[in-house]
Amino acid sequence: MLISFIRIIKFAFQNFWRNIWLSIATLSIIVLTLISISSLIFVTVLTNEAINSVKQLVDLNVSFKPEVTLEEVQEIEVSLRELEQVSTTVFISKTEALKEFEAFHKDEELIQESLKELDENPLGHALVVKAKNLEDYPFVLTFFQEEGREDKIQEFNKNFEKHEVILEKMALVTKRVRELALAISIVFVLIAVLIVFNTIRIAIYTHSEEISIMKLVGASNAFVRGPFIFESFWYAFIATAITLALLYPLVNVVNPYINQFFSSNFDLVTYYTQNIVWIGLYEFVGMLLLNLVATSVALGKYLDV
Amino acid sequence: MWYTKNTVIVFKGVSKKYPPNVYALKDATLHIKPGEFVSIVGQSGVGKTTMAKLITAEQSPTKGKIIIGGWDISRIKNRAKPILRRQIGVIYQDFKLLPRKTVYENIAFALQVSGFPRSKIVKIVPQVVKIVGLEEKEERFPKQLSGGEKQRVAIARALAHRPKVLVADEPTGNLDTVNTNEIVDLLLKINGFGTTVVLVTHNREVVNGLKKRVVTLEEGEVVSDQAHGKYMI
Repeated sequence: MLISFIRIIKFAFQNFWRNIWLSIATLSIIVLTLISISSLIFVTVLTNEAINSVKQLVDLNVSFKPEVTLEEVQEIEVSLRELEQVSTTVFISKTEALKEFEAFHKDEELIQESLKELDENPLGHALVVKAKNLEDYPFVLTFFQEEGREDKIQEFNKNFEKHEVILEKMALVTKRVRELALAISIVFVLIAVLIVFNTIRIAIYTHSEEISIMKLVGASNAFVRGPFIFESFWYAFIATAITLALLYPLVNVVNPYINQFFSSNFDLVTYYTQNIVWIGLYEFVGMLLLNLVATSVALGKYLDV
Repeated sequence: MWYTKNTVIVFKGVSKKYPPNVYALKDATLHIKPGEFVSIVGQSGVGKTTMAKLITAEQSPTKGKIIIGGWDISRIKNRAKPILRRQIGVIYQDFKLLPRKTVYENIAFALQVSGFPRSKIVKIVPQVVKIVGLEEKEERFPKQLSGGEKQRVAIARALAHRPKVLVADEPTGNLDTVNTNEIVDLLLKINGFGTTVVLVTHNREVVNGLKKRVVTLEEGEVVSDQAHGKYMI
């Protein structure tokens, strides 16, 4: 058993080396496919990052009336945090709100003078709410419209409809972008599968005569299959290693352009180096399974001797 | 009893039909004893190669029984075919050598598939290489050999696991007269070691020169079986 296993591995390496041009051609196709799939992964990550960047800009700023007490706002905040649609809430006290207001209007003398005339802070406390998804904002808004809360809000009703329309449109756009990315991914993966499948089939077809000879001199199916199965493993391993090595400089080249596009701190090189093990593992396992299926299917008809 | 222990190959009423209704062999009966040299002759398409393929289980009979070394292979299962083939040596007109293996590796392969340890392989391969006279060409690939040399490699490979039966299907079909004579001499030498040789051929000179048993096929039927026969047709 061990002797056969060692011989199978030896024959696999011998096949690989003695058919070096066929091996290089097969490897090149697999590497190109893996690079394409990696690009798709990066595009998906960048799309998600773009959507997240837009999401970060969206929040609800709810200003309460000056007479609403700190306890009342805190009570609303606690109820708000219990909603599964809410991601974060930030409390802004009326003092902080006034400071921000003054800072924002520091060059407007009329406003500054008007503020000095007032004995009391004219602003109320505020809450900045971020929902988990864009589609959740209308629900959060209805929370504030409920009886007992709506009359405590200073500047809520004015922008409600405008917010709702913008949020609905954004939710629709991001949903469509995701659907499009998914459709492109499926088509892309199908093409990749077909290319690799047929490449392996052609590679095995070139060995069909040898396979029948092996069978005629008494080789069992397992003994014939073994080297091809090991070669599949070998192809997947080498192709993944080459792909990962080639992607690093490629990612470095495109990274400055991506950094320009994203105002956030997203960095593709950092993402790649942090996830290289997972990307490599997924691509290796996926390609190995594909190679194994293609090899088994292609070998099947030549083994019947 | 139609089968005795003193036979190594038995065909009992064997027919082989190809679709739609073409008979390659019709009710063929044949007994071959251990150590015999039997030539199966006949014109092209009379079923000679079918007979060879039935012995190696490349094909199965439509009707009848085939016994090889006491083993009924008429309905042999796929997983048992390698075991049968490791006990029979076969050589073909087109040599059927593995193109990406050297002479040494081609011969060793027949032993490796049977699970022979390396220590035995390094002893056996040089022995059979010497028998076929290719001592200096062990590291060559098939494309670097002449037709006669390729057939010698095929013979060496067939001999490596010391089969009791050697089936030669038109082994001289692609060779010139000089190489043909050398291969026939080699087959006689192997037969001299006690191996049963079944030679499938349509080469009249070869058959007539052998003066051994000749089985003649015509339209799939055994029409004559002579102990010291000649090519009749």
